[in-house]
Order: sequence, then structure tokens, then C-alpha cells
Amino acid sequence: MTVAENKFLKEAIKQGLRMQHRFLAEPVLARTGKGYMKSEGVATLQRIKASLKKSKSR
Amino acid sequence: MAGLVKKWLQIVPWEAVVSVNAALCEARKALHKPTSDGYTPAKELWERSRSRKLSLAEVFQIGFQCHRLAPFCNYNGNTFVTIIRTLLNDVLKGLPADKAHILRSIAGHIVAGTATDIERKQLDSILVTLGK
Repeated sequence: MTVAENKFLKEAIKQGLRMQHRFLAEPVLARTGKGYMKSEGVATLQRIKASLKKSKSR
Repeated sequence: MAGLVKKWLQIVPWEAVVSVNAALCEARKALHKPTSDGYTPAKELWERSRSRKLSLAEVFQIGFQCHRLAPFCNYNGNTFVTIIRTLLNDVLKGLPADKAHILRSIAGHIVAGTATDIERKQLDSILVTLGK
């Protein structure tokens, strides 16, 4: 693998491990046609919007 | 935004897909093994798509199709969702943080097979904005 491919791979694994709790191990989509991904909720988006608002008002 | 249609998957050889799945399975002590029916078609679809110039919508669709083919015994969803979301990193840098979060989230839902019609419409409008 090239340096860029390796860099991508490391980043992907890091991100994948961070959100692994949102997935099931089983191949649900293949079996049922409907996938599974636990919602992370709206807290993150609210936090982002609040910080954008804050930086705009400065 | 230039560069939205490009060889998105070129930077991700199939062996990287396998490595991501291996790492995710290892973290949860799950079996990392190819499936007898899904592995070859998913690998072929992925490798075929690597040399093609693709729109973002096509990239999401390929991620979804590979996920659905289930090339691995475990964690197919996380494997393809995380790869597609990581591919978006450069595009997201050029977007306001809230739009970037929404695009990343919708991309994940499409590949995971959980996207709603509202999200698909939202994606269309974000992609139109990005294309301008």
C-alpha cells in the first residue's frame, strides 16, 4: 500500500473504532434488507450549532 | 465545488477494506472471516469502482451495495460506513461545521441502510449546493 493509502487506513480504523458501539456485528442488512445504525442523537449537532452561533456573535 | 466527481475509491484498495474489518472485529473479539457468497462479488464491485470517476451519490450507493453483499461475517456495516465517512473528510473541510455534520451523518445512514426519505432529499439539496 502507498503512504496515502496507509494514512487513509489508519484514519478509517480510528473513526470506525470510535463509532463501533453504534453497530451490530451481525449482517442485518444482508439478511433483512434493513440496516442498523444506532442514532447518535441531536446533541452533537446542537453543540455545533451553538458554537457557530457563539462565534458569529463575537 | 470542483472535485466532487473523481476516483473516490482509488485510495482504498480492497486489502484496506479487509484491514478495517479485521481491526473492528479484533476490537470486539468477533470473527473476522470472508463469507462464502458475499466476499467475491463485493470485492469485484469495489475493485471495479476504484478506477471509475464517481459522484458522491454513487460512492454512497457503492458503499451500501457492498454492505448489503456482506463480504465479512461481522461488522460489515461499520466497515463500509467508516470508509465512506472517512473519504468525505476533505470535502467536509470546505463546509460549515453544521452542514459537514449533516452530510457525514446522512452518508453514514445511506451506507448503513437506515436513511429516511427526508435525509435523501436533504442530501440532494446539499449536493446541489456543493456542486455550485
